[in-house]
Amino acid sequence: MEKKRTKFGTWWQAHKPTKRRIIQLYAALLTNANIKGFFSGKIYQGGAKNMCVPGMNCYSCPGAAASCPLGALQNALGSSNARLPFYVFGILMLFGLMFGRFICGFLCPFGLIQDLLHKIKTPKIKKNRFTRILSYLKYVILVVFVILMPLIYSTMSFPMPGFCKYICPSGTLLGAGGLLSNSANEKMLSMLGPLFTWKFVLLVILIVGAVFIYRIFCRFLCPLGAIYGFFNKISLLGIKVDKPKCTDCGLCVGHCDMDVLHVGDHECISCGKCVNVCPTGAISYKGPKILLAPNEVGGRPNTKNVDPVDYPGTPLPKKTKIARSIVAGVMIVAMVASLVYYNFIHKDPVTAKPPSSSQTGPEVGGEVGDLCYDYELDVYGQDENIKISDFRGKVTLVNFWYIYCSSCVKELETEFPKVKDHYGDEIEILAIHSYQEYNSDINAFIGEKFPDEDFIFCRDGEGEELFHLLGGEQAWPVTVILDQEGVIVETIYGGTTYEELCKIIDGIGNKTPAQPEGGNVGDLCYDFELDLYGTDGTTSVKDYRGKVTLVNFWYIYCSSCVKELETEFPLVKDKYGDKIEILAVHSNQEYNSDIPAFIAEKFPGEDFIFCRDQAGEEYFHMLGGDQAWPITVILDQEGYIVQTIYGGTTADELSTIIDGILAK
Amino acid sequence: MPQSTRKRIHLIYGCVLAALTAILGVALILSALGIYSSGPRAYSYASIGAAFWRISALVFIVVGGVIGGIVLNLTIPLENQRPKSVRDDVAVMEKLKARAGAQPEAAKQVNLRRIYKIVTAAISVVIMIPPAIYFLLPFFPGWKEKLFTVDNLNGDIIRSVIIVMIPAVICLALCYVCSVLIRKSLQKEAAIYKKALAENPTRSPAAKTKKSSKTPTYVWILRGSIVAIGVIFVVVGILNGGMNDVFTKAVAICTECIGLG
Repeated sequence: MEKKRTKFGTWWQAHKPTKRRIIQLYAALLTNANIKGFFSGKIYQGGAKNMCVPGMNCYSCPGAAASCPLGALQNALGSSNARLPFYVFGILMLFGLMFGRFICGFLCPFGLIQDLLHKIKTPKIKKNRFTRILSYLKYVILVVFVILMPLIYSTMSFPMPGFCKYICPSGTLLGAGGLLSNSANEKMLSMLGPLFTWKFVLLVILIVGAVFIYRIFCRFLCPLGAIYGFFNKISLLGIKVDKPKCTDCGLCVGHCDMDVLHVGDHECISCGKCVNVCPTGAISYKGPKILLAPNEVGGRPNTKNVDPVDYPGTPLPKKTKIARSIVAGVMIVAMVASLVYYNFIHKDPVTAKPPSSSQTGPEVGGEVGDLCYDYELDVYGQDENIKISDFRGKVTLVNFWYIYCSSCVKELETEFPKVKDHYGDEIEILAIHSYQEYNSDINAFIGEKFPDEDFIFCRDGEGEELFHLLGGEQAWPVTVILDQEGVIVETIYGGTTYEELCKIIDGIGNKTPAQPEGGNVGDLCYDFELDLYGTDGTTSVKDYRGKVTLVNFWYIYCSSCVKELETEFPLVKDKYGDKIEILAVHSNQEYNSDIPAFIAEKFPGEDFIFCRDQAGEEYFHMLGGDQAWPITVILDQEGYIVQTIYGGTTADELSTIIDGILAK
Repeated sequence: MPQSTRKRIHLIYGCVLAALTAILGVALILSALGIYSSGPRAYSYASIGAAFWRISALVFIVVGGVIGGIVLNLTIPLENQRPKSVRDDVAVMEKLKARAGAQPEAAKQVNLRRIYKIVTAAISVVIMIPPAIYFLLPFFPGWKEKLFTVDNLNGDIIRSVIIVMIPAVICLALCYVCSVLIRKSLQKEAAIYKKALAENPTRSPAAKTKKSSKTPTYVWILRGSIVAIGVIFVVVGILNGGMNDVFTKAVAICTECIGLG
C-alpha cells in the first residue's frame, strides 16, 4: 500500500538532494578537510600529503588534505631525470582501475562546482557535433601541457608544471583564492602579475562558461579526466549496459549531458542520468550495490515499461539495508576522524623562534629596518660555515630557493647573474636552499646548473629556520636585501627581476636616488599646482617637503569623503601637529560653486589646506584615482609616495603609516 | 498556470540572467586587466577592493538573480522536458543491414566513409609532424639550447603552445568536417537500406546480434594485471623516493600552480 505523504513530504521528495550530490559534497569536504587552513591562510603540511586524492584539488589550497594527482604527475615527470615516476603512475593506475571517470562524476570537487554553476537558471548550450570534436582537446592538453612540457624542461633540470602553471582553474580558485582571501597572506599580493591575470581571466571564462555549458572544463580541458577515461571500460565502478535488454532507443545518449557516443565510453562520468531514463532497465551501475543500487542516484526515474523492483521506494532486502548502514557509519566516522585530525590533532610545523636575546641585540630582527639575524650557514661543496655578518661592508642579497621551485631556479639562472655582473664585488649573493633536503644531489644540481656563478650556495640551518625568521611562510622564492651594515632594506616575496634589484641596490648606494616622478607607491610624487580655496593663491605638494604630507582627494557629494575629513583627519592633525600637512584636494567637476562656503560651514576650525584639482580630476587620475573617491596619498618628508589608500580611511590606519614614516 | 506561460516566464528570466552573468564575467575580466595594466605589483587589497566596488552592484544583482531562479523553480516549476533520443547511427545501420541483406550501392557509401577517415587521419598526421619534431628535438644534443633559452622561457613556452595548438585546432576542424561527411554518408546508406526494405519487407529476419553482458575473462585478466602493476609501481615509487617527491612538492605553496608566478 502506498504511504501517504504530507505536502512538505511530497515537496521534499521532489527537491531533496540526490545521492550523487550528497556523495559529491562528502568527497569535497573530505578532500578539503583541513578547514582551519582557510582561517589561518596556511596549507596543511602533514604526512597525508604523501598520498593523492582521486579528484582535481590543488595541493596549494589551504583546505587540501592530500596531494593533487595531476600536480604530482607533472612534478614527477619534471623530476624524471632524477628518478622514474613510478609512484604517481601506480596511484593513477589504481584510481583509474577502481573508479575510472566515476571520480569525475562523484569525487572531484571542481566537478561539483561546475555542476552547481550549471544549475543557475539560464538557457543552456546543448551538446552537438562540435562539442564532441572539442572533447578531444583535453587529450592534446594532456600530451602537451602535462607530459611534454615537464619532460622537456626536466632535461634542463627545470621543473615546469605546464598545466598547473598556465591552465589549472582549480589552482586559481581554490589555491590562490583560498590563500589570498586571507589577510595573513597580504604580502603575496605583491607577487601577482601577468600569470595571475591570465589565470584569473581563464577562470572567469570557465566559471561563466560552466553556467551555460555542462562541465565545460571536464569535457574539453581536463587532462585528469582524459587519463581516467582510458580506464572507463574496465573500471570496477561505473556504468554498464545489459546488451540483451537494450533496444537501441537512444534515450540514454539523448539525456546525457556529456559528449558520449555510447553509455560507459571514455566520456561517461557515471552520473547515472541514463540509468533513470532507460525504459527497459538495461543500464545499471557496476560493482556492489551497497551504496548505489540501480536507478537510485540521479533522482526521478522513468517508470514506464520497467520492472519497479529496481526503483527507489521498493523495500530493500534486509541484508543490503544492514550493509548500507555499516558503510554509512564507516563513512561518517571517517569524516569525523578526518576533521578532528586535520583541524585539532595535527599541528603545523612551528615557525622558528628568533635566537635568544644574548645572541642578538635589541634591533635584531627579520623585518625591513631591522639588523638582520646573524645565522651560521653550511656552504655546499665545502666543509666551512659562513655567517651573514661575514659580508658586512657589502650589499648582500639573501635569496631563499629550493630545487623544485622553477621560478626560484629561473631567477637564479637569469636575473641574479646579471646583477652580479653589474655590481661585481660591491655585492654578495647568498643563495640559500631553504627546504628539507629530499634530494641528496643538490650539490650535483648546483654544479650542473650554476657551474660558473659567483654566488655562495648554502643551506638553511634547520631546514627552513632562517627562511621563516626573515619573513618566509610557505612560498618561495624570497629575496632579502641587506645594506652594508647588515640592515634589511627590502624583502621581495616571489620572483624578482634584474631591474628591480638594481633599483633597490642603487637606492642603498645612493641614499637619495634620483627617481623619476610618478603616481605609484615608491615614486617621487608628481608636482602639480593647485588652486587654494578662499584665496587667489596656488600651492603644490613640493611646498610641503620636510613634512609628511597627506593628499586627500575628495568631492562635495561623496559622503564618505566628507565624513572622513570631518572625523578622521582632524584626529590625525591633532596628534601630529606640525609634523604633517593635510592637503584636501577637491578633485571632481564643480557642480556647486559654493564649495568655499561648504568648506567654511563644515570645516570652520580645521587646519587643512583646501585646494582644487585645477583640471577637474587630472591630478587625481595621475595619482591612481579612477572613478571612486576618496583616495588618500601619503608622502614622506622627501615627497615620495609611501602609500595610496583607496576608499575611506581611519585615524588609526593613518597613524600607523605616519608612525612608520617618522620612525625611519 | 498553463505550461506555455510558465515556459515563457522561465525563458525570459533565464535570458536576462544569462545576459547579466555574461556581463559580470566581462566586468571581472576587465577589472583584472585594469589592475594589471596599472603598473608593476599593482594587486593589493585596496586595488582589488576598488575594482570590486565598481562592479559590486552587478555582482549583487547576479547573486540575487541566481537566488531568484531557485525561488522561481520552486514556485513555478516546469514539467521536465525530455530530450530527443540520440540513436547510434552505426547500431541502426547494423539492424537495417541485418534485415535488408547486402546492398551493392551501400557498399560504396562504406568505402567512401573509409576514404574520409583515411584522408583525415593522413592529413592530421602530416599536420602534427612539425610539432612532434619540435617537441622531440630538445632530447637531441645541441637543440635544447637553441629552442629553449632560459633567458626568455615564457616567450619560448608561448611559442611552443602556438606551434602545437594551431595544428591541433586545424586537426579538430578537419575531424569536424569528416564527421559531417560521414554522417551524410550514413544517412545515404540508411536510405538505401530503407528503400530495399520498402521494396521487399520480408527479405531477411532481424538478426539477434546482442552478446551477453557478462564481463569477459580478458577484462578480468587485464584488471588483475593493472592492479599488480599499480601496486608494484607504488611500492617501487615509495622505495625510490617518488612518494617523498610528491610530499615535498605538496607541502610548499606552489606559487606557479596558483598563478602567483
